[in-house]
Amino acid sequence: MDNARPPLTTRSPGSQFCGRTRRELLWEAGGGFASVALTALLGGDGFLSRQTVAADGVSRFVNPMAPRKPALPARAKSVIFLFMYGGPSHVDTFDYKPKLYGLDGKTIDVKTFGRSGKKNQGRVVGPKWAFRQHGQCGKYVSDVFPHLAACVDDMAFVHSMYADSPIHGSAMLMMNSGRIISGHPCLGSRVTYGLGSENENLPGFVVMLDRTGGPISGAKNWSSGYMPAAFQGTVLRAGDVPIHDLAIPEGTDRATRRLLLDRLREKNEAHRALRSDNTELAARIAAYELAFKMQDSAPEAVDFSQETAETLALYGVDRPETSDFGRKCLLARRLVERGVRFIQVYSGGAHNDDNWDAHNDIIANHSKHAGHTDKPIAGLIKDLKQRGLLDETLIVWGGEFGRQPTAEYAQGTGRDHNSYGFTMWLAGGGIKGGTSVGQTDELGSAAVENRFHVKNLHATMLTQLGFDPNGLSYFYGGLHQKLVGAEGADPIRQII
Amino acid sequence: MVRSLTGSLTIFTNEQAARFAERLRKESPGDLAAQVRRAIRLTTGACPTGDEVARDIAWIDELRRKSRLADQAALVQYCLMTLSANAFLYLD
Repeated sequence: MDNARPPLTTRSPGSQFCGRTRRELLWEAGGGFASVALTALLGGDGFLSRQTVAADGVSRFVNPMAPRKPALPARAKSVIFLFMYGGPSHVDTFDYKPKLYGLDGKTIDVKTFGRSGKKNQGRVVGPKWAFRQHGQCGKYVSDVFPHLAACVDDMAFVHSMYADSPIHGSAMLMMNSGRIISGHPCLGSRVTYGLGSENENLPGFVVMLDRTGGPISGAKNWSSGYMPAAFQGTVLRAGDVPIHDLAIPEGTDRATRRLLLDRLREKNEAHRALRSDNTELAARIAAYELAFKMQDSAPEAVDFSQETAETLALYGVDRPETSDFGRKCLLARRLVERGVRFIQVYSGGAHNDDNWDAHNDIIANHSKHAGHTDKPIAGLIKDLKQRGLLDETLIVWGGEFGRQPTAEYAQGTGRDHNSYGFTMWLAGGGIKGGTSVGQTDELGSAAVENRFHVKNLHATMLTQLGFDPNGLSYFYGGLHQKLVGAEGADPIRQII
Repeated sequence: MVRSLTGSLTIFTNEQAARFAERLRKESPGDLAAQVRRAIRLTTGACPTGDEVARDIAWIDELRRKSRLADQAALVQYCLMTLSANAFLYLD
C-alpha cells in the first residue's frame, strides 16, 4: 500500500478514486478483521465443480467429477472407509493370541516402538476379552465385538499389516495418502480423480467426523494435496444440518438466489476469461452451483424419515450409545445409493480417550468405542447385503496402526502404539468373505508372515475399483506420482 | 479454517452487503448508476465499462420486478453479488 496517499476520509463521497484498492475497501469495511475473515472464507471453500450443467440447466461447466470408467473390470463402485482413529488394539479384537493371556503381568523381552520410543522389554497386558469362534469360517473374534462377530463370513482379515510410523499424525497421513508427510492427495481424492462420481448433486468424496472433533492434522486427512482442489473431501454431518452455511438466509427466496447466481456466473466467467490458467476460479464458479443444488440434495440425503423402524434399529440409531455412529453408517449407505464414490467415517476424534488411543485403560477405552460402533457397523454390512449393495461397495475397517501387547506404563492396562503389526478387515466389493491372511508373532507385536504394508491395502482398494494400482498416477513435481509410491505395490491377492 | 460450501454467501457477507448498500445509498442517494459504478470500483479496483454498468442496472431492475424487492433490498442483493465475485475474492 502507498502510505504517502492522503487519508481516505478526505475524499468526498462518490468521487472517482483511482488508486484505491480492494484492500482499502476491506480496511474501511471493518479493518483487519474483515480481511482475515474473508481470507478464511476464501481458503476454506475449495469445494469444487462437480457438474456438467449449471443449476439453470443450460450453462456448461468443466466437470472434474464426471463419472469415468476404470481401465480394468471393477468389482467395487464405492468405498466406505471406517476409520478407527487412535489405533484399535488387534490382540483385544480380531487377532487371537491365546499365549498372551498366561503372560499377563510378566515382564518379557520384546522389541516395541511406540510414542514412548523404542524398548526391548515390557510388561505383558493379556487380552482383556475372551475370544470365541464365529460363523462358518470359525473366525476367532473377541467379545468386545458381539455384533461384528456375526458378520465374519462376509469379512476378510489382514492380520499382518505394518506401517511406517507409530505416531498418530504421520501414521494418519500414511493410511490416508500413502505418505507420512503432508501434501499428497488422499485416497478419496485419488479415487474420484480416477473415477469421478455418479451424483452431480453431491460431493464425490465425503468425510464424516467423530462428534468429539476431527483427527490430528484435521483437513490434511482429506486433502487433495497437489491435485486440483476439486478432489478434496467434503465434511458432511449426519444430523439435521448436514452442512453449515448451506441454507439460504431468511428473507431470501430461491428464485432470488438463482437470479444472483446467474449474474454472478456471468461476471465470474468474464473475469476468468483473462485468467484461464487459474483453475481455482473455475472451481469457485461451479462451487456456487453445486451448493445451490445441494440446498435440496443434502437435506434429502440426511432425511431418515423414510427409513423403517427396523432399519434404524439395525444401525442402533434407536439407542443412545450407538445412535451417533449409527446415523453415520446409515448416511453412508444412503450416499452409496446416491452414487457418492468415497465415504470416510471416523470413529474417534480429538485427543486421548475420545478416540481408540488407549494408553491408560484398554478396557474402559475399547469398551466405549467398540460399544459405539459394533452394532452400527454390523448393521451396515447386513443392510448393504440385504439390498444387494455389498457386492459393489468396498468396506474397509481399521486405524492408523495397532497397539502393543505390553503396557506403556508401570501400572494399568494401557497399550502404546504399534505400527510393526496390526489388523485391518475388508468386506464387500469383491472381497472374499470368511478369509484371514497374514500373521503376527505369538505376542502380536509384529507382523511375521505374509506381511502387508499400507500400500498393499491401498493397492487392493484400487484394484477392486478397477485400477492398476501401479498405473494410476498424477504428474506433479516431475514425477508420475502414485498412491502406492514409485516402487509400486501389489494388491493382497489372498482376499480377492 | 472455515469450510464453507457457499463460500462467501454466508452470514458474515450478508451483513457486510447490507452495510455496503447503506454506504452506497448515502454516498449517491437516488442515483443507481453512480451506486453501481462505485460498487464495482470499490470491489475490483477497476473502472467499470458502460456495458457492465448497464447490465448490472438491468439486473437490479429485474430483481425488483421478479422478486418484488424494494430499491434498497435489491441493492443489498447486488452488493452481496459483488462481494461474492471472484474479481473481489481473488487478488491478481
